[in-house]
Amino acid sequence: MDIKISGLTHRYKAGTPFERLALHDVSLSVPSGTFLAVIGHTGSGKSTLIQHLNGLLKPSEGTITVGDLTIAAGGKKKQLKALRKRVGIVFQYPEHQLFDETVEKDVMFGPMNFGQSEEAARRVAHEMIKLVGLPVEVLQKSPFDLSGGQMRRVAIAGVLAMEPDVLILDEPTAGLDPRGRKEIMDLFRTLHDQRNMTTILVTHSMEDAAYYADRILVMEKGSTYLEGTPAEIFAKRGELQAVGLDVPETVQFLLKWQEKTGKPAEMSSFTIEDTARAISADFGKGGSTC
Amino acid sequence: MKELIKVNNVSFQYPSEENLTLAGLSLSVYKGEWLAVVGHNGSGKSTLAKLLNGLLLPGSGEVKVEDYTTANEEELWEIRRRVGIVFQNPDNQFVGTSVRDDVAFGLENFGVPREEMIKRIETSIARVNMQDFIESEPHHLSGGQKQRVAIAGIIAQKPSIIILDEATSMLDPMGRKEVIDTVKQLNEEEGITVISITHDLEEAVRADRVIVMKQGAILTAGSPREVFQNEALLLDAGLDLPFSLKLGVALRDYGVSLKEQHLTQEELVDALWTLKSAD
Repeated sequence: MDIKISGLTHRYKAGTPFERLALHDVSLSVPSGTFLAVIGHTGSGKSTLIQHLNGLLKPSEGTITVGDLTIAAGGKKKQLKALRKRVGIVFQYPEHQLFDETVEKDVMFGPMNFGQSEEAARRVAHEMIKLVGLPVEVLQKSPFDLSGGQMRRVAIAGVLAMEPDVLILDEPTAGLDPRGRKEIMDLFRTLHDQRNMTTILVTHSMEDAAYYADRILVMEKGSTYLEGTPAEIFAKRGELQAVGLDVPETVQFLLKWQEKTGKPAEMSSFTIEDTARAISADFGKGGSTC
Repeated sequence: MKELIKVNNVSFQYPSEENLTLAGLSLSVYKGEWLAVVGHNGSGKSTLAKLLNGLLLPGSGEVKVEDYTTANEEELWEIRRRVGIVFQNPDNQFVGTSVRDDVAFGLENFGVPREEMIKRIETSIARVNMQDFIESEPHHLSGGQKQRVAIAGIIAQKPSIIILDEATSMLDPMGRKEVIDTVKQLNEEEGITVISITHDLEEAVRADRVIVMKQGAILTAGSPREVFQNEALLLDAGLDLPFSLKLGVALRDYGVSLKEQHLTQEELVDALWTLKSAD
């Protein structure tokens, strides 16, 4: 589902002495099927931006178009509900929003709220629990008896159960251990590919942005600062550092290596594997089939 | 080295849980060291932190801080003054309406005389480099700044130990660096002992000592070099290898004949360059 944002401006507490400009004239086009990462330091406008995409905030100026649905300043409430059906958000620490007696009821809540029958909602709950890598036995447990990592998966299943076309992830791995982090991110990338979704990931991890996303948006002071492919964005280290960001570890390493050898290193891929291959080529025996 | 904390065969169970969260754990923490505690979610790291300053009390075993024990209620205040914890969420630990008030709060609780208090507030706020924000309200501060104020509140009490309980996990890269640099300075210049509970392996690599927890027990402990060379054990503990070690493994797979493990990017680059120069 295509997303188009044109001239989006958002003022918090407009018309009061506390008015604050949180987004200024942001325009962005996200073609259907894109995996977009949004990076920027705290307060750069990332969260304000994504809250517009499922109607939690309404534009002060400008428009947001998701598929054939356009939200403009002063738009109608009814449209917001339709938007929320299409766009699912996994908030930071989503497990804090679990509330129901059993995991099953919790996951069923969303689809039933959007008018699905109990039967259909139960079916989808079972499917999603398996999809996020949990055994079906947890469905009858209280979500509060699960571990933190399991609770996070239940919360994610609850968002997926609404079968959104667009999935927004606001630092979905914060606080998870390294293995949990990788499992959850791999899950999102697989879902993205298999279900043909459009995914928007807000992250503080340059590594995740480099590795999982097709495109990256860098926000600064409520505006679009840079936009491009990971290779384009991470070729601009100076510009990133100027706004408190940096390049991923693999690029940092290649830059250090480049300083030693004096030869420019290829920096279009961000996996450890490719980084090792690029460096081994300098030893005259790697990279080939020997 | 002087032993500051002694955890002796401690077990702990939350009333709602079926299993022990900590099972017979023993640990010593030494003066001036930076100790990193890593482990999977639910391995008992945060429970351990709360036991160290008596926010939780062991079911069995003993926790001693210097000459005090958490088993004696009268000694808990002495222990809490010595062991300060910075928690994960910067928004849940700001109690004052300004930076100054927030730091004052803890001192008032300990009944520090007013003159002394004013002096300590100013020096500790300057110590974390927040002097330009002394009258600022919390909602005007970034996450990293709020965490630094929490640290100022702790150092105003002249503690011997600071525990970071995933204190940087909700911060952006810049905030993370601000907090770690601040604590590093306190560790190096004032000899404050640091226990850092973290999922950030790059931070753990720079510690003096690392303990790896799994299911409420210590799986292994040692220098970062000792601990991080055991890939199988780390993966078993739900962790991963730090970047440079992972890259080292991949380089060997591509036929680059590195002999040793290299913990940091700088070490690995230097080793590669030495190797290449000998090529």
